[in-house]
Amino acid sequence: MDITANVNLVLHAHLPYVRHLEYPRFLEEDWLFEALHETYIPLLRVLEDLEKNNKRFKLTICFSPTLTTMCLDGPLQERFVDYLTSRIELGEKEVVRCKKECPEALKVATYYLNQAKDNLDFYEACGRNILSRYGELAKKGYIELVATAATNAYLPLYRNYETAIRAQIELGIKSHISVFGSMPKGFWLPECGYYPGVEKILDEYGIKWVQLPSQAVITAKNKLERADHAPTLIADSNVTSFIRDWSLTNLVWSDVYGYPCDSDYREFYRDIGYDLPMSYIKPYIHDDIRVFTGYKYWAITSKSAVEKKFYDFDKAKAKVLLHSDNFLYHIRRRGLALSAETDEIPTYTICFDADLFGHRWFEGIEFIKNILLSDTSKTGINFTTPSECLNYVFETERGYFNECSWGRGGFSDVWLDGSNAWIYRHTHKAIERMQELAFRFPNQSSLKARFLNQAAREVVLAMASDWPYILYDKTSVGYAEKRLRNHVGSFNVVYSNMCKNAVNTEWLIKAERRNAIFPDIDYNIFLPKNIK
Amino acid sequence: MVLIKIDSLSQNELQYIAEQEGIEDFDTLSREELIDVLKDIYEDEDSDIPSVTGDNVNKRYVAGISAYRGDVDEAVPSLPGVEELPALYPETSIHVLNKNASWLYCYWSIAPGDLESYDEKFGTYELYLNVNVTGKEISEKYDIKIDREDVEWNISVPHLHGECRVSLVLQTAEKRYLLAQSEAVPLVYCYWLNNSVKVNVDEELFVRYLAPITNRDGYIIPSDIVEEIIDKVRNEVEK
Repeated sequence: MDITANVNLVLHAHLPYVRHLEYPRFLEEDWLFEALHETYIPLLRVLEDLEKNNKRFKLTICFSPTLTTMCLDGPLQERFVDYLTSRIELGEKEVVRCKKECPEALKVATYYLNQAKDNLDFYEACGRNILSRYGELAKKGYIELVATAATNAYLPLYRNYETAIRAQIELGIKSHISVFGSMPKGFWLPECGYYPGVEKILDEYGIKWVQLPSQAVITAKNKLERADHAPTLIADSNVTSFIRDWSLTNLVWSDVYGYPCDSDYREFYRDIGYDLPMSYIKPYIHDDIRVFTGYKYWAITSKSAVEKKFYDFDKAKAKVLLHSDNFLYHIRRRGLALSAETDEIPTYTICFDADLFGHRWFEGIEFIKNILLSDTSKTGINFTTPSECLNYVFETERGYFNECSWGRGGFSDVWLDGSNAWIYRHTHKAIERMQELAFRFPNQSSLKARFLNQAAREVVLAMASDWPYILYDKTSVGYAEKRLRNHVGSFNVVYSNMCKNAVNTEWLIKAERRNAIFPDIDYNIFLPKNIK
Repeated sequence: MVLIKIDSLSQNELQYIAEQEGIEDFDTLSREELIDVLKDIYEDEDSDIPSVTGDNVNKRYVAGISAYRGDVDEAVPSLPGVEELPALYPETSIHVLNKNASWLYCYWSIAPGDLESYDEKFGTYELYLNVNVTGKEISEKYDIKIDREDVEWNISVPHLHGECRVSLVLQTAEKRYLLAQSEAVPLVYCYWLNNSVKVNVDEELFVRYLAPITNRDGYIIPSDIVEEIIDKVRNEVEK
C-alpha cells in the first residue's frame, strides 16, 4: 500500500523538581516513582523489545531537565528502589489476601507484583540509569530525543524578560547535551506555549523545530495553504513548526471521548490505598494520608457506576487492539481525504504527555506498542520523527503565528487565572532583581558566584509552569504555594544579602543541597544582552 | 469529504469501515445499507462547517498529581526555605500580560512611600489606568478608574494588528501625572477575522483547516477565537 500519511508521535515526559531529603519519605516524590514504575520503565522495556526483535519503529520523546535530574539523583534512585521494594512487599501480601478474600482480583494482584519485581530487576540491570538506555535507542535511530525549557516554564508569560527566556532555553539545551551527549534538533515548547519572537532565540541556539498547538493555523496572522498538514517555517526564522493535530490526539486524550474512557479499561481512581483497612494498608501509604498504592483491581465499568466490575485482562487486551486499529484507521482516513484534495502526503504530529500511557491509561503502553508495530505496507502510515521529516521536506511556507498554547481556550488562561495570577508579581520581580544582581556583580568567583548561581537556580525553579497549573487544577495547592514561596523566598535571601555585599555561607550550603539542579548554571546568563 | 469510492468496496471492507466509524450494528447491515450509512457520515462532514464547540474537555492528564494531599495547606509538612512573600514590592510599576485574545491581565504596585508623598503633595486625587491601544486602522485611549487598594485588573481588548500599553496615572483637579507605564504587548490579529473570504477558493481551504481541530464527534477544539472565526467565515459563505 502506498503511504497515505507520515506521523510524528511525540511524547513529553516531565515532572516538576521534587526532592525532599529532609524527610524520610515525602508524598510528592511518589509522582516520580509512579511515573518511573508505570510509564518510563515499561515504555523503555517495550521499545527495547521491539529493537531486539528487529522491528523498525520511530518515536520522539522529550525528557525535561527537572525529570532527568531527578532520574539521575542518587538519593532519589535509592528511594525509588525502596518504593519498588515496598510495592513488592504489598504485592506479596495482596496475593495471599486475594486468594482468601478476593479471588477475582488475584490475577491482577499477581500481575502488579510481578511487574514491580521485573521493573526492579530491570532498573538495577541498567545501573539505575534508564536515560542512558533511551539515549542508546536514540543513537541507533529508533527515537528522537528533544530538549525543552529548564523547568517547563510557560514562556509566553515571561516574554518581556528575554534573559529569563534565554536562561530557560540555554539550560534546557545544556542539560540535554549533558544527559544524552548530543545537540538536540527539536525543542518542546512547554505547554505548546508559543509567542512571536521566541523562534528567533531558539534559532540562535541552533534549534531546528518546535511543536505548536492545533489552532495556531486557523488563528495565524497570515493565510496558510498547507500548514494544516505540512511543516511550516515560523515567521522569518529557520525554525520549523510541526502543528499538533488535535483531532487525532483527541481520539486518545479526552476524558469524555478518548479511548482510555472505555468501560473495559482499568479504573485509575479506584485503589486499595483508599479501600482497605488502615491497619493493613498503613505501611504502604503516607502516614495516615491515604494515597494510591498502584494496586487497582477494577474496570472503569461506567462513569457513574459505584459498584465497579473486576478488571479483566483479556477484555482489555482485545479492546486495546480494537482501539489501536481504530486510531490507525482514523489517521489513514484523514490522509486519504487530504491527498484526494491536494495530491500531497500529509504529515501529522500527535503529541501527548508521556505519563498518560501506562500510568493514567494502564493499557496505554500496549497501545503505543501496537501502533508502532503496525505494518506501513498494510496501513499506509509511516511513523517518523520531525527531524527526519525535515530531511525530505523541501517546500515550506512561512507562518506568522499569534501567541498560543495547548491549554484550555488556546491561550494563557490556564496559567493566568484568578487562582494563580498572583505568582507573576513575584517571579517577574525576582527576574528583574536577578538581572540587577548580574549587572551589579558580574563575573564573580568562588563563594559569591555560588551564592549568585543559587539565586539564578531559584529563579528558574520558581518559573516552572507546574505551580500555576496545580493552583489552577486545585490539586496539590498547599504544596505548590510552598514551593513558590520557597524559591522566590530563597532568591530574596540572596538578593537582600547581596545588597549588603554579604554572603550567608551556612544558608548557601543548605540551599545548594536542597535544590541540587543545574550544577553548571552561570548567573551571568541573566545579564541583559544589550549590556553584555 | 472525499475519501474513497464507497460503492467499489467489498462487504468486508465496508463492515470494517463501519465498525471503525462506530456503527454498532455494522455486522447485521446489508451492503446497500452499509453504503447508505457511510455516505451519510461522509456527507454530514462535507455539508457544513461545524458550529458547536461542545463541552469537550481536553483536560491535561498530569501524571504527577495523582498522589496528593488535597487542598488543605496544613497537610503539607513544613519545608525548609519557605519564606513569606511581600504583598507588594516597594516600587511603583505596572505590568501587562496577554491572558487570551480578548483580555489582558494587568498588575501594578505603588510604593507606600510614593503614596504618602502624593497624599501630602496633592491632598485629593484619583488614580486611573490609561489604556492605549494602537493599531494600523484603529487606535483608542481610555481611562479606568481604580481605587488605591486595587492591585490588578483585567482589560478587554479588540483583535487587531497592533499593541496595547497601560499607564498608571494620577489625576488631580489641575493636572495628570504619569506614575508608571507598562511595556507594550501585541494584540491578537487573525487573518481570517480581518479578511473577507473568497468564496469557493477559501472555502475549501477553510474546511481543510477544520479537520485537525474537529474531533470525531464533530466538536471543535474549545477556543473562543476559533469559534468567532468559524462564525464569521460561515456568515460570509452563507451570504
